[in-house]
This record gives sequence, C-alpha cells and structure tokens, in this order.
Amino acid sequence: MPSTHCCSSTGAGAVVVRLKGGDPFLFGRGGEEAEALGDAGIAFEVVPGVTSAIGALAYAGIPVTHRGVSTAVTFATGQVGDPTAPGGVDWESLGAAGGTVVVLMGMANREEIARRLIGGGRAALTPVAVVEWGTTPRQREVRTTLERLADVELASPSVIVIGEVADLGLVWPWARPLHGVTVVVTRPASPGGDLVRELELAGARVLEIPTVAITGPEDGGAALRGAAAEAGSYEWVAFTSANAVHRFCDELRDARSFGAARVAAVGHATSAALADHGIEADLVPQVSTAEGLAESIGPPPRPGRRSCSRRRPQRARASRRGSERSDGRWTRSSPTAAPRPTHHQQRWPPSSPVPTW
Amino acid sequence: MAAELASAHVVTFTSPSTVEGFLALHDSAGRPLALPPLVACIGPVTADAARAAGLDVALTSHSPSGAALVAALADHLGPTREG
Repeated sequence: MPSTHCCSSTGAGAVVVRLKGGDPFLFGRGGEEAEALGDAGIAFEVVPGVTSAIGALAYAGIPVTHRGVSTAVTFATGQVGDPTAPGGVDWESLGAAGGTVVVLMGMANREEIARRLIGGGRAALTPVAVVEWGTTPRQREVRTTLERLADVELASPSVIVIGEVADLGLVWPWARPLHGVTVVVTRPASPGGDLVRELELAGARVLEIPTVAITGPEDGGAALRGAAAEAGSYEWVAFTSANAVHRFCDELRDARSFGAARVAAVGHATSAALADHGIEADLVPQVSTAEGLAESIGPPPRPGRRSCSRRRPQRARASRRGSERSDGRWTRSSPTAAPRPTHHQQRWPPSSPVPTW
Repeated sequence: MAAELASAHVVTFTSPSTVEGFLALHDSAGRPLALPPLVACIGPVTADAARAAGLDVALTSHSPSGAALVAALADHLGPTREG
C-alpha cells in the first residue's frame, strides 16, 4: 500500500514527495493517503493537479462544459466491477441525468458503460470522444457515438467523454502542428540536439535512433591540437558542424589564438555553437554545403596564407583551388552497424494513422 | 525498437552519414529496419545522398536548422491532413 509506505518513510525522518499524475483527489487515492498520514500524526500538504479528465480533453480541443451545450459534468470511474467502490456507478441514472459524462479507466468496460447509459435514456447517437495518452506526444483520439463506443480501438490510458461537447474541436491544438506524428531522429545524441527539442515543441513524438557514432580522431587529436595552436596563422578557419566547433574549441587554450584568422560556419547550428564559445562567425554561407562555403570565401588566399577546414572525408568535394589547405579530420562519423544491402520503404499513408481534429 | 519504428510516420536525416547509418541498421532477426513512409532531409546534400540510396525523399528543408525542418514537415503534413 502506498499510504503504508509513505507513513513508514516519513517515520524514518525523511521528507517524502508522493508524486501522482493528474489530481490526487480525483480517482488518485489521495484521500486514503491523507487519512493514513493524519491517523499516523504526520504533517502533510496536498498540492492539487490538473486531472486528465479535464486536461486530456482540453488537448483534444474539448471543454467539459460549454455555454449553451453543457452546464453539468460528471466524473466517473469505469471500473464498474470494482468491489471497493460502494454501490458502483449508477450508469442508468447518469444516462437519464444529461450533461457531460467523463469516464476514466473505462476502456475495458466501455461496452457495458455505453449499453447502460443508453438503457438509462441517453441517446444512442450522443457524441463521444476517446483520448488516449492525452497531452503527450503519443496522444491519439477517436470521435464516435455512444452506440459505437465499443468499436473504438484505443488502449489505456484513455479518457472517454460522452455528451454534446464531444462534438467540439476547438482550434488550439493547431499550435502543435506535428501533434500525433511520430518522427524518427537519426542524428546522434550530441550538443546541438535542437531538432529533437523543436519536434517536441511542435507536438511530435520523437523516436531517437542514433545511426552515427561520433568518435575521436585516429591520431589521438595531435593534428587537431596542432591546428588549434596555430589557428592564427590561417586566413580562414571553417567549421562544418557544431560537433567540430566543440572539439576544436576544447583544444583551444585561448580564444585569442584565432588571431587575425577569419571564421566561417556552415549552417546556423554551427554558428550558434561558435557563439556558445564566444566566437562570432565572420561568414555563414547562404548555401550550407562545402561548395557554398567555397563560393562564399571567394578567391584563394594570398601566397603564404593558409586555410583550414574541418570536414568529413566522404564529403570532401569542394577543393580550394590554388590554396594550401590543412584538412583537419577531427571527428569521424561511422555507421553504428554493419551495412545491409536492402531496405523497405513503407508507403504513405502510414499503417499507423495520423490523427485528425 | 523495430516495433516502434514500424509505427513511425516520418524519418529525418540530417547528414549523408545518417542515411548510410540508418540503412545499415537491422533488427534482432537480422532484417533491415522498415523505413517510415515519409523521408525528410535537412538540406540538399542529405537529400541527394538519400536519393542516391534509392529513397523517396518527400521533403527537404530550405535551411539546415531543426526549426526549418519542423516547419517544412508541418507544411507538408498540412492542417487538413488525413489519417
């Protein structure tokens, strides 16, 4: 029993946080725990939360009450056979009473719930919405009618809402344009993981499958240290990834080592990484490729000056004509598994439906 | 991982080496992983690499930032997308 555990832990002198999803006093057994703590003479505080019965529906654009549509709401547990619930839920009376009915933990018994609500007088065509994993990037929802609730193929945890408000789909989820979309990110976990953050802000569910391992240089970093120490002797120092910036700057004992060298960055993530180290890029080519960089840098440096770039071996295509260059291969990326010759691309639309609202 | 991947809608590639690396992955039974139906690339170099590997690239972001790729995805999937 959680309440027993709470009591024994606090009894040992610990400060205990009992963290629950939703609101502890709505089907959260918070009352039982508060009673147990009170009986044991242990001081406690209850911090109310937002119940999924309201929050999950809000994320589906459904208010549980709406002026002119519904002015009453009932929260019910769908554990109809729960012997600890005195008397159980009188679904027939709820069916007759009208207003919005929100059911938590109701998926297992949805067929019985629908049948009994209809038996009590609720119209078979009453709008119903089911929201699975509400508020999370995995959220999915289905709109249906009371008589077809049993056909809904969503799993727990789901919130069921029955009533005219289930026909509403208010527009604010548009603020999360990738809501309900699962996106695979193949980039290795590294500084500059802004793609994952941006995707999650847009509401996507992110599946990180790093396919590239960033490893240290083969020479143990000798060439990198050499180049960093002599950064000021180059006309240009060009960076092509945030990772390269971090590796280089780790070897830089003094930011003034750049001297008069100008600094170029391919891509905004790379220039942002430079900014993190207090270095403002002199040049960020409009076209974020090695070719774009070569175009932007312009003619070869004066005799006696050098340029230094950091690039991946397999992408080294844009050669700098007529200039001496030092190609610092400071990071290496390699596939994380042995090559396989074949693959299978699924067809759109996907097997897993993208929700609509 | 393979099971989760089967339910994914989009795969993003952010460099040619991520394309190569992804295609080299396989499940516990040694089969190549299924590729999600929508391939999104962060820039033209990556998109070229994906096409060269035989992938059908649905969209390429205009600039190589996470925000630009997310915006391109949102545009592509659109406000009236159907499941």
